[in-house]
Amino acid sequence: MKKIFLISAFLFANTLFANLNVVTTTEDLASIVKAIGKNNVSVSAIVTGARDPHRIEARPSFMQRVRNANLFIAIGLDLEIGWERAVIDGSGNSRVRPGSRGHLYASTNVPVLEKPTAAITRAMGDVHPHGNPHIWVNPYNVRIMARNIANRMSELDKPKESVYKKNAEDFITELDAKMFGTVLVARFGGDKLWDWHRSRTLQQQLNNANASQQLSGWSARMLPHRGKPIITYHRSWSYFADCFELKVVGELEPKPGIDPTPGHLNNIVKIANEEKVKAILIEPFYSKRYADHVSSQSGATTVIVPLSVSQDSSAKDYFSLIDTIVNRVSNALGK
Amino acid sequence: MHFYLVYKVFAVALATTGEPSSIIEPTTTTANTVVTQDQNPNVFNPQISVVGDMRAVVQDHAEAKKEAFIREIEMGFAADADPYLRVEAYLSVEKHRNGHHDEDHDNENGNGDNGETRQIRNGNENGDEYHVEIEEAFGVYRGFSEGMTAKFGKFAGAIGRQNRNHRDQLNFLEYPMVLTELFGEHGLRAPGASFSYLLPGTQFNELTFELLTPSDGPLFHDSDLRRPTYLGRFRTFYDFNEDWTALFGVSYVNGPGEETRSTVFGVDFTTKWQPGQTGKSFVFESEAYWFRSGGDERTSGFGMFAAGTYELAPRWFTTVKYDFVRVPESEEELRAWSAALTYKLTEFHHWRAEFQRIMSNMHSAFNRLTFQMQWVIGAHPAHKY
Repeated sequence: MKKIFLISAFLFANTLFANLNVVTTTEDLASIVKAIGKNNVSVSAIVTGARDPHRIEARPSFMQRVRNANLFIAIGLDLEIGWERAVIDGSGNSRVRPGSRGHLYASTNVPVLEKPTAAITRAMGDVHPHGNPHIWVNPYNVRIMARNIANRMSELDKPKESVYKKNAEDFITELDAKMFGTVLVARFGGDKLWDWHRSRTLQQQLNNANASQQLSGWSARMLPHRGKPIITYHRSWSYFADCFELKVVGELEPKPGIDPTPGHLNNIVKIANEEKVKAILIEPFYSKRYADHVSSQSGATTVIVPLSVSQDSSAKDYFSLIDTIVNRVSNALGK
Repeated sequence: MHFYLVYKVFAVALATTGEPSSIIEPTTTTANTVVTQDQNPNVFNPQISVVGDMRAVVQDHAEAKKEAFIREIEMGFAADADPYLRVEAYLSVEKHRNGHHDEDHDNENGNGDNGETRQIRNGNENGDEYHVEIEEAFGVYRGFSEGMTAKFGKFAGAIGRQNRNHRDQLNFLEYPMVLTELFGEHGLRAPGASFSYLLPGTQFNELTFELLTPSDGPLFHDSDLRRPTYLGRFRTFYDFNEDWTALFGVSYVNGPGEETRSTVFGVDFTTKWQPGQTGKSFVFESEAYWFRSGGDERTSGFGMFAAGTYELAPRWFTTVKYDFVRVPESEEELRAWSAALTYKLTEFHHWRAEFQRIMSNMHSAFNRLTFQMQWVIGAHPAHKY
C-alpha cells in the first residue's frame, strides 16, 4: 500500500513538471516514448506485466490516468479494441478522443501483414480486419512508430520539437546498431541496411562489399536460423518471423483467440515431427501445458518469450525485449 | 422549473464545448507508405451488435411450466454522431407476461402480481408474449471540462454497479432480486440527464448526479420533469497491486413513490483478482440497499446480494450468489441461493447452467434449474470492469 502511494505521488509530481503527459496502451510504446521524450515527458502504460493485450478490462484507474493525458498512444489495428474506447470515454478527456491530435495510432504507415483480402467472419476466430496488430516485434516497424510518435509529440509541444526529433533519430540509430552492428551502420547507414534486409539481399550486398564479416547484432544472431520452422501459440510472432526469415508452420490455437483442441494439437504434433520443429514460442500469459504436450511428443522445446516489455524481468525496455527474444529463440533453434 | 434547469445545463454544456478538439486530417497514401487505418464504404455506419439469450427452465413449482424459450434478443447501436456527441441505443425484444405493463400498479405490490408469481416469471414466462422495448437510448457529451461527462436520454441509473450492466454482462442469469424488487424488472432505467465528474488527482474518484423520470418502478414511479427522481453516486477505485483491484461506491436516490417520496441508500463493493495468466481469476460483487417506500404503508427495509465468481480453468467459471430483499409495501421477504457453472467458449458465446433455490416467508420454497446459451454477433463487446 505504501509502495503504491509512493509510486502515485512520484507519478503525480512527475506529471506536474513534465511538458507532456503521455499514456500508452503497451509498455513497448512507453519505452519508445521514454527514449524520445526523456525528461520532458511523463509516460505510463496501461498493459503492464505478463498480460494479454487483447483481454484487458477497462479499469477505472486507467480512465483516471487518461483523464490527465495530453497524448494517448495505442498500437491500433484493433489490438486494443475491447477496452481502448471504454478507457478514453470513461476519462472524460476530449483531447485524446480518436481523431484528435492527442490520440495516435502508432501503427500508422507500418506495413501490415496478414491483412484480410476477402470477407471475414468470426468463424475465422478473433481475426483483426485491418491485419495482424503485433507489429512491434519487427524492429523495422519500430523505426516508423518512433518517427510517428516524435512527430506527434512535436506537434503538441512545439518548443521541444528539435529535441524529440533528435532523440527519435538517436533511438533509431541505436536500434539499427542493435540490428546490424555499429560498424555496418556507420559504413552504410541504417536506411540502406534495412532496404537490403527487407528485400532479402543483405547477405549478397554485404558480400559484394566485402562486409559480411562485419555483420553483428540481432541480424547476425538470427542469420544461421533463416528458414527454420517454428510453432507459436497465437498468431503474434508473424512480424518477428518475417523479419528474421523464420517459417511459422503451425499455431497451437486452431484459429486466432480460440483455445487449443485435442484434435488440433494432434495435427500440430504431426506437423512438428514432419517439419522437425525445434521451438514452440509461447507468451508468459498463456498456459504452458499445450506447448509442453506438443514438445513431449516431438523434438521441439517450449520457449517462453516475452511479447512485450515488462513481460519478463529481462525485458526492461524495447532493446532488451528484442535481446531476450533473439537470445531465447536462437538458443532453442541452435540446439 | 426542473425542465428549465435541464435546459440551462444543456445550453451551457453545448456553449462551453466550443470548438471540437483539433481534428487531424485523414491519413493519405504517399509513395512508399502503406495506409494501415483503411477506410471502407461502411465506415460511418454505427457499430451494431445483437445479443441472443436462449433458455431452458425446469422448476418444482406447481404453477410453472418446464419449457425452452428465447429470453431476449438485444440489439445495440453505437457511433459518434459528430465531434461532440456519441450516441448509443439498445433495443430489446423480450418475453413479458401478457398485460404485464397494464397491470403494473393494480395490486398492492405495485408490480402487477404477487411475489411468488413474480419470481416464477423471472425464470419461466407462462403464457407470454414478446415485447419490444427501448432499454437505453442516449447521447453522451464529453469534454466540457476535463473529467466531465453528460448524458441525455433513457439510460440505466448510476445506482450500484450491476444496474448499469446489461443482462449479458452479468456473471449470473438475472439481475439481483434487490434491484428488480426495488426498481423494476430491468433495474432503474428511465429518461433523464446524468452528469459525472472524474475528480483530478491520481486516485479514481467519480461523482455522478442524475435527474430521472421513472414511470413504472416499485419504489419510484410517476416521476416527471416537475417531480423528478434525484440520484447521487460516488465511487472510488483502488489498484492494490497489478493483480488485485477494488471498486467501492455509495448511492442515494430520492423520488416520487405512490403517495410521497421514496428514498434508497446503497453501498456496493467489488473486488477482482486477475493475475493476467489466462484461466485464473476471482471476482466478488456485492451491493446492499436500505429503502423507505413512498406508498401507503411507508415500509422501510433492506436488500442485498453477494456473489463470488471463480475461474476454475481457462473459460470455465463457477458463481455462487446469495440474494435477500424485503419487498416494498409488503411483509414479504425473499431469499435465494444460486450456483452457476459457465463455459465461455469465446468472448462471443457461452453456455451456463444455474441452480437457484428461492425462499419466501409467505410462500413455500421452490427450486429452479436453468440452462442458458448466450451469443453476441457484430461489434466487439467492451471489456468493462
